[in-house]
Amino acid sequence: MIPDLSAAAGAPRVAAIEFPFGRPLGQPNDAATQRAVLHATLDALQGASRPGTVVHLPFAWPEAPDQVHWRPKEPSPIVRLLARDPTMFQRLARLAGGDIPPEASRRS
Amino acid sequence: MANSPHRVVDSYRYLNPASRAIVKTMIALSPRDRLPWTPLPRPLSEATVALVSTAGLSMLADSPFDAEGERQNPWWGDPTYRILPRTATEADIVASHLHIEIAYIQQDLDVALPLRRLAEAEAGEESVDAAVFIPV
Repeated sequence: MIPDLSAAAGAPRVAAIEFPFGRPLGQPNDAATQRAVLHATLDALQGASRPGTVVHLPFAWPEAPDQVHWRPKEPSPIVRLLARDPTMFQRLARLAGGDIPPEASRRS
Repeated sequence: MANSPHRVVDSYRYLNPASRAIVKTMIALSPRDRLPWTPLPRPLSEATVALVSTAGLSMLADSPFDAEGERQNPWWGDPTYRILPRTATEADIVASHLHIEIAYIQQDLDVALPLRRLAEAEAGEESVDAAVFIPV
């Protein structure tokens, strides 16, 4: 996950874990890991004593990053848009600064 | 790579260079507002716990998040939320997230929304409901 972004977005407490997107608690049917992550997360969040606390959980994902399958089969709409028009990168990046394009408020 | 008590999580571990650049720019442009803070008023064992997810999950009987709307307008994301009961499992839900592989959630809801794991921990303590949002 992206704890740096969570912290920058203003989350008062962050439990950071180096697991891939879509599986923050672990692999399917790995109840032991899921249970351990949940308990560590609750402990971290309960123990935070001031805003801006980021606790780095100790869990390691067993696959190398280039072996991890987390992207969808179909590229997301924004990824397809950026592939067609790379100049949109800056526009996307400015979203976090409050520069919301008018299109974002319209369904279509 | 083994678990380590001294691990510093790499926020960019799974991102390609282009995505890293976008995220770093978003971080740099984030406003430095005062952080909200509510101290936990009681031990967690005496509290009500709610899980909030951005995995785009909805009950089969409910209207799904508007993925087609996002396909039509990539700058837009469904701003609504759904409530899942504590008894929900992967057999009861639809995952509408367009930015991640959803197959793992469809196999086991607890990889992203640990309702069963939290219920196991509950043992007569906290109660659990879950609210789900679509990621923006």
